[in-house]
Amino acid sequence: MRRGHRRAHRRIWLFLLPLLLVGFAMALALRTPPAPPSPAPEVVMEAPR
Amino acid sequence: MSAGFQAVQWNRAKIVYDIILVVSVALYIAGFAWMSFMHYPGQDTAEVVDTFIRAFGSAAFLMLTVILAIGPLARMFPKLLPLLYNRRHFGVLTFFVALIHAGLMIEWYLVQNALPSLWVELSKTEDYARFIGFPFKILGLGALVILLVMAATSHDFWLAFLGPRLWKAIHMAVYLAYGLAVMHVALGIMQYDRNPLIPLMLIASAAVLGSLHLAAGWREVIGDRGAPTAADGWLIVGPPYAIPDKRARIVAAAGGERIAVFRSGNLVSAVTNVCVHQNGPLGEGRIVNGCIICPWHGYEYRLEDGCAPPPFTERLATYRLRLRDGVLEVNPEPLPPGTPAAIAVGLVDG
Repeated sequence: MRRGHRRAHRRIWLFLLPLLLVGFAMALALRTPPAPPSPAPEVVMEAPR
Repeated sequence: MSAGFQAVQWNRAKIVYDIILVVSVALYIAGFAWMSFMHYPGQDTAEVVDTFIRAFGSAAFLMLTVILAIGPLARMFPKLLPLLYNRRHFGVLTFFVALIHAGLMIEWYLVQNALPSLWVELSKTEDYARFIGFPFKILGLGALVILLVMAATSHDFWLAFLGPRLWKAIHMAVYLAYGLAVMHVALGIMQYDRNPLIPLMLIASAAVLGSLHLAAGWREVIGDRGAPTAADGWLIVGPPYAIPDKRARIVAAAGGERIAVFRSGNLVSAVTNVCVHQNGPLGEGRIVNGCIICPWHGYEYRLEDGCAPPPFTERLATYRLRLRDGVLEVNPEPLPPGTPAAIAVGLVDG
């Protein structure tokens, strides 16, 4: 590899890694909370005749 | 190197490599689907398609991670170099796995007669201003387009046509594809599915790749520090016998390209460390039958003058060498490519 190419490799990671970490952390932190489980259907008991 | 055009330059090692790759991918997809069907039995057609979307998507992401890990791993552990030789086949297969992932996504809409919804999803301009809710599929599409360009230009014809510098620059876009893929997952499936394996996969992938590249990069920084010089600017290589037979010692002038000083018996020669094929690190290769072999793709150059043996025409820049008080020195000014510059040294193998 040429010197410039090696330098580009290092610089890319120095930029890419923090960007990805910030993006990922935001995506994780801002996730909408899961919807609460729907309540169980009410069972209507018929009165014994 | 090749004297004629071949659509795919297969040899026995590459066929074995490709078979292992395809079988591994098939096993992963089958294993993923089997586990999904065991955990969630009775899936309808759309759910089955969704399972395969996830299987192919995660396979493509993991393959991209492995591809990006191969470079620094091979630089730190030369025994892993065979993985590097065939990385292009790995990349092309990754593109096809990602393409199937995208095709299945369209199929998912089709089986529900909801294909127009995909267009609505991608064309809602106000969503592009949001972070959560961003049309994540466009990120995946961007990564897929980059992989397509890389796969389409992966053949040596394009390497020769574009030149190593431009070709390498285009293929550096793989890092952008990786970034897009990470955010495609983080803003897509990670938002809907609370399976902890999804963020874990992203964290592990980025941590492994980041640390491997930074570690390998740090070693490169050390290697680029200039070698000690004599009063007249020649770089001090060391005693000839300190260079292992059929191998090289790499030296660099401060701010200059690296020079590989090879020894074969009592013959010593200095050539550029940069292979003309893909800029591979020649100094990490060895000498076989009087030729320097590039460790990346096996390009060959004669030790004495840096010329590829006929019928090939590639030539390397060579450097003048001298022996002073038993110490080998190299002039950092390159000679025209193909200039004979090897010298014989009377040495005792140490």
